Amino acid sequence: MAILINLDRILDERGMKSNELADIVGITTANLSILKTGKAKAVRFSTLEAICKALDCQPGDILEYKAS
Amino acid sequence: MNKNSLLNIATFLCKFINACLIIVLLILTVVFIHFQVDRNFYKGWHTEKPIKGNSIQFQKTYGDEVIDPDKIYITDWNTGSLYFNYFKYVGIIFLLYLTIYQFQKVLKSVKNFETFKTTNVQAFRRIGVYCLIISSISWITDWDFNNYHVSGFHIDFDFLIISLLAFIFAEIFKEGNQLMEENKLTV
Repeated sequence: MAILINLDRILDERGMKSNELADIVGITTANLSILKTGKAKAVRFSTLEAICKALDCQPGDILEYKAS
Repeated sequence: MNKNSLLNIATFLCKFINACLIIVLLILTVVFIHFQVDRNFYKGWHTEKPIKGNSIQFQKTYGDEVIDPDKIYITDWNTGSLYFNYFKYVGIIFLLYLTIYQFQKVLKSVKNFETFKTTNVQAFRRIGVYCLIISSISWITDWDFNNYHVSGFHIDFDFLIISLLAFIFAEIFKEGNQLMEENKLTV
């Protein structure tokens, strides 16, 4: 997929673990894994907002477009 | 009437019809075998001319047995026609059983809130194929008795329409499955 998810990098920078983020955002670790591995078909604005709030970042820091 | 009780009634009806089909199949087979072993047992069983469509209704006259040339007697049934009709109806009953079994599987998945599973798409496709085969089997008629013979070809639209509906449902369920997958992969 042309949209890349840089969640792992941001998590590393913030020193946060996946399950911690999942707890804060209020999604399951399985769903977070779907997002991280790029299997997700769509991301809700509410989820994106919660992730940005938890990681103190912009949506553009998490999502990246790469022409395939 | 809530969803579950409706589904329970439908499931019960499916089970009941399937049980009836098995009983009919057994009776048909027993009569088919017995007819060949002891044809005279069925002496007096007859039907009226002409035989329309696929159905035939035999009845027995009690009392004085006078051979009526206008009647068709079961003992005069040609062996080839007998075998053809036996296998034709056994095939139809068996395919009906499979169709209802597939429908039962769909009902079960709806009950378990797994309506748009890929197995349901396959089930509806199978129902479509079974009904198509039933329809094509029903097209051929062959009743052959010593004093009367009718064989022909007629198009039966009932199962053809059910088959078409089943294929349409399969496509609808396929769309539903895609939407479900998308929804499942929405974080």
